[in-house]
Amino acid sequence: MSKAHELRHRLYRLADRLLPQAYAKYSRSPIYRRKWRKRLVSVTLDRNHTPWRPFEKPLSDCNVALVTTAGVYLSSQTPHSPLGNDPSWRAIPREAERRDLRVFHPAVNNDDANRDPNIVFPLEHLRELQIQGIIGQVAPTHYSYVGLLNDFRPLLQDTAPEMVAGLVDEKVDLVLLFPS
Amino acid sequence: MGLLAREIEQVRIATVSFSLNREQSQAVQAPRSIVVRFPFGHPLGEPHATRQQHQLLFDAFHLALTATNPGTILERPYRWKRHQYGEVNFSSLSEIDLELDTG
Repeated sequence: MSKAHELRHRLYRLADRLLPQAYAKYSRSPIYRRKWRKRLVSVTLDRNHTPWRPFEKPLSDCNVALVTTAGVYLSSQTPHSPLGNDPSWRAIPREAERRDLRVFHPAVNNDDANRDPNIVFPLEHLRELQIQGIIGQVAPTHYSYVGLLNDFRPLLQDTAPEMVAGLVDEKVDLVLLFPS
Repeated sequence: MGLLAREIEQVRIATVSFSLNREQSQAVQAPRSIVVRFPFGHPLGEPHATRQQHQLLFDAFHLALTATNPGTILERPYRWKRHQYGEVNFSSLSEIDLELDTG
């Protein structure tokens, strides 16, 4: 690991200790709720229509993918911004090993998720379920974002469509989504 | 989270979203949500608690197979660290009759 890489990880670990408690309090406050609703209203959301794909395939034939907003990344990738407002995604291949997965969400204590990434990104469980024949296939690619967006538009206009195109290309049938 | 689920479901891929905040799930109206009362950063519970994680994954697959209404929210009653989790029988999922409506 290069010196710059190591320094960045140290900085992230420090942010990890300092930010979560303040954010946990803030995110339960009426100020945050008002702000969140306002941001949501700023995106076009048709409340009279919820998109719906009826589930019509046996699970044992389904190609299943994971999407998380917990800030999961591979040790070879750059973590998401510690300042929030980062709509970018990281692609995690289905073969990713636990030792290569890292979790960094600037507003959450990530210690537990780094000890066991399955609590935000249960890729190991999916692989087991495929071996047992419960699901048909673990999708080749999974996606990780990070929450804490002040503006949802870059996500909805740019980076979410990229992920959606990837899911379509790989003929995914079911996506499980995990917040942080 | 729910916004991403809506984007995915738009292209006719089914989704199940976990949520740690019922109010947000209701506001966004994700197609299918499971609300758990766990701390932030722990949508599947505790680290290394395999039974707990299996139970929640089972619930997610079960919801995918059984939900018939867009915007379904399933609230799970599990208590953080104080719930006894049994062995999960994933094979029972294959016995669920699928919705035949092709939408």
